[in-house]
Amino acid sequence: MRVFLTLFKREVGLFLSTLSGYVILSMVLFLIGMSLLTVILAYNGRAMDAPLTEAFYSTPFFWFILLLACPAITMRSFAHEKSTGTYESLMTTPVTPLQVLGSKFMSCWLFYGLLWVPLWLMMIWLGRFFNDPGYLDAGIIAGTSLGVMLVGALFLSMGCLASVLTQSQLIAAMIALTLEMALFMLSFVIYLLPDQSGWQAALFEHISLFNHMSDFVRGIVDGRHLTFYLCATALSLFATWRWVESHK
Amino acid sequence: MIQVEHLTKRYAGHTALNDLSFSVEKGRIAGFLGPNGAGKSTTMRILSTFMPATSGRVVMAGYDILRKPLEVRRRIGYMPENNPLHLDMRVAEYLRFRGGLRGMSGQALQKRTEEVLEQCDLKEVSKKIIGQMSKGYRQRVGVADAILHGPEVIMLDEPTIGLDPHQVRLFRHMIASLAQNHTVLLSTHILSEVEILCDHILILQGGRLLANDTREEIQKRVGSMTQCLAEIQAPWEPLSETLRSMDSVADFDIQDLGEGFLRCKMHSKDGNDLRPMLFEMIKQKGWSLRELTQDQPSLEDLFVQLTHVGRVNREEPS
Repeated sequence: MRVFLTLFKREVGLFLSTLSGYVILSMVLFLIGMSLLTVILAYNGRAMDAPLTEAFYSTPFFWFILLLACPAITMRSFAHEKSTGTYESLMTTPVTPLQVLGSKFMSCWLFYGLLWVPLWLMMIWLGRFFNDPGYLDAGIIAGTSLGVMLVGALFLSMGCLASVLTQSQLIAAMIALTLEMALFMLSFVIYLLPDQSGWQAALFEHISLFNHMSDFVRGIVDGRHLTFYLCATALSLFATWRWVESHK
Repeated sequence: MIQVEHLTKRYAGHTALNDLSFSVEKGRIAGFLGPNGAGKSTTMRILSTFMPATSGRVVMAGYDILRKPLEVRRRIGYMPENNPLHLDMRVAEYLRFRGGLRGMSGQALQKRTEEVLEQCDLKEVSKKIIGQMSKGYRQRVGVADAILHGPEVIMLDEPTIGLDPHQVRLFRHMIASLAQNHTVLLSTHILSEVEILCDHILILQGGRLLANDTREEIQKRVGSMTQCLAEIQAPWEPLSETLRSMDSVADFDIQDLGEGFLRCKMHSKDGNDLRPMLFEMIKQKGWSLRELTQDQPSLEDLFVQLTHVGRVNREEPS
């Protein structure tokens, strides 16, 4: 556990002590700001018929954050260490591949969580102007947070897998973005199917990130969605772990 | 302390290491010598458990590297080629981080960090950012990291590369002092470094081990390469007969220079100086002597001879 904490502290410290961490933070802050602006302009003087979180989820900027921030966060995790050679000195100390992967993934996840803090602050600030607390209650915030963190966990695990495959941070980011975009685009395949009642439609509905998130932002936590994200994240992390283990 | 048996590493269509076997005793400084691409770094990487071998067995500090890699890593300190460091960290901070990875903590880690900083002459720069330090200091940080946890075996891959002569001298002194408490394995292609530092020499070429001897044995081999040259005015047959009858002469070659002079090139059997014996013999026979010299071969000559033979042997089958 001590080794894990040493590695974890180092990884978190890297995000907070290097320029790249603050560039990602600024980029996300900008997108959150754009998202807020879009919501305010869209609902200015109009009655809201959905929770505030759903209004944010409908803006493209919300998805930009999910899709762009994750590759930017994970691209350096393994690729940077491999290109500078520190990976060799790390893997010749008594650390296990699981400790290395766990610390890198958890630190990315923590930093990813920190990136969303401004969104919650803005929502809480906006919520003060609503007469009906139902637009932004604890359940809605918890559901949305869970959804954001689960999608993030899946995307970050894919990013770690991409980063372990190469020494180039750029290539790692491109592989991660391609994987995430491919998964995201599958959300729209359902609209192209001629038969909306067949098993294909059921399958694509089940893996549609859009559908999952529309439930989460309303405060609905569906067990099937949870299972999907946990299994997909675990699978991706397992593949990364095996790669680290076999390509020492 | 280090036992390597039939170690082989193959990549697709290329054999990097071919049936390597050697052992290094406790408290010795062993030097891996070889031209670029000989397989020195590959061997180091396998021994440090970073890279798996295709076949063979390696036991480091009593543990099999394949079965107990973590136990091996606890007992070795390894400085990889080019000495990769976290350039954004400060020296003491880096050492504490590396100590943490090896399970050290609290007062023990703090105390050991102080000791190592002192030992590697880094105390004055302990708060400096590694990326802003000179190459010499960075190399010292690499060694400090390798010895931090008091390992039984220290492995240094090309530790003096890129250092200026003054830094190289300081560095050699530091490595020599490490042998008092550790077994040191270092790789280099700088011959003088091995000649000065190492008491066990391993010469690699094309993934094959060409020499695996102690310094004394290597010196003997170098000695046996000693060549004596004499230009003697004597008849061919009697001279040839006399040289053949001399026990100390391993082999000789005679060449006619004209005007009755013959040039003889001789190798000594045991590395002894042949000149006094030859002079006596020529005096007794009443022949004339025009030149009598002996060249002093170095490790470099042995290295060139071995690696040249190695190269020829490898090229022959194709």
